[in-house]
Amino acid sequence: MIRRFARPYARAILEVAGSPEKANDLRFELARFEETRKSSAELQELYANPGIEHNAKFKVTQALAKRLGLSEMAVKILDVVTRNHRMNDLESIVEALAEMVREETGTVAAEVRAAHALNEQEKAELRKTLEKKAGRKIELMVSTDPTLIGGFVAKIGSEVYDTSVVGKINKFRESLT
Amino acid sequence: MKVAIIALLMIVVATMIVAAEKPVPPNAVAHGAEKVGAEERGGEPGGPHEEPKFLGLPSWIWKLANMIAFLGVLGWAIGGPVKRGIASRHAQIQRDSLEAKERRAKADQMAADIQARLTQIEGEVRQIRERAEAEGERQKRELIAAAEAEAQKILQSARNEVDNRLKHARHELTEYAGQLATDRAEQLLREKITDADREKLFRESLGQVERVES
Repeated sequence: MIRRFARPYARAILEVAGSPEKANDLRFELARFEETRKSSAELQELYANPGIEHNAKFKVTQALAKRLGLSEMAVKILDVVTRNHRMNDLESIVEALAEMVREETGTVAAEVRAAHALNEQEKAELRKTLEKKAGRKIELMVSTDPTLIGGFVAKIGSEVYDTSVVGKINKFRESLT
Repeated sequence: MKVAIIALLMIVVATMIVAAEKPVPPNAVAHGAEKVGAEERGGEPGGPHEEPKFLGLPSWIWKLANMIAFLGVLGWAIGGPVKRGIASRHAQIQRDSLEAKERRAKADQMAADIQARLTQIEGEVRQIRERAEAEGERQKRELIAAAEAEAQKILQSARNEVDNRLKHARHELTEYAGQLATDRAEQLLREKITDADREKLFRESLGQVERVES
């Protein structure tokens, strides 16, 4: 869920990036940073604690950014977010940015859960198939879910394509009731 | 008042007549032996006997006249009231008779009415009894029909209930069997599936998505 305040940040990032493609690159950089931050309880506490000075937080941000290979623009954006005490809402800002980028590029998000880890060729085939169904370019987000046994579940907007083995078994179960 | 005057007059006349009669001599009554002697001699006992007279007429004529007068006065004095009384009584008796006849007639009419009513009531009672019997028969038939219908309904309801339970049991059994089968199938698939199977399933899935109509 995108929170209301996240849209102004996303719009600002889109503007400073100069193009939707660059904004999309920034989005992935910010998403990597957010993933790292969320994986560590200490980092979460650091950015949430108002008693710690901004400089100390910024130093940590710079160190992380260097390790993650983030661009200078991404570091500046993280600095602004930290200064405004919105680091805990970075995920929502990234989501809003993704939505705006998709709007700008005319793409649609396709969330796919596959039973096994897809190789590049499979991803390309999947993208091609889903773009054909959606009628426009898609932003493919693939995750692995072995509980599906086989096949995949793709969600494009409100459309859901469930071709998984578990989905078929569940349909069969429902037909019996 | 008239009756009192007449009675007083009669008493006066009677007194005068009695006072005018000649008294009987003390030995006018003969003893038994004297009577027998006199009869043997061919005469009256105590000597010859002479009829008393008044104004030259024998006393019995006066007595007779007195009686006739008495009766006449009596008839004149009480004749009217007696006649009126008798007439009144006669009229009363006639009225009573008529009234009695009317009552009798009424009683007869009433008896006839009662008899007719009794007859009618008997008819009505018979009709009521017949109607009651007919109604009883009808109700009996209706009750029997209703009871049979109710019994049929209960029977049908029981059959439906049994059918429903049977269906439910079949459904539950099918569902349970299906659940077991699908659980087992899922378990087997998880155990037996290979990477090659997953790749094959992935390609089949792509084909399925392409075939889906948007």
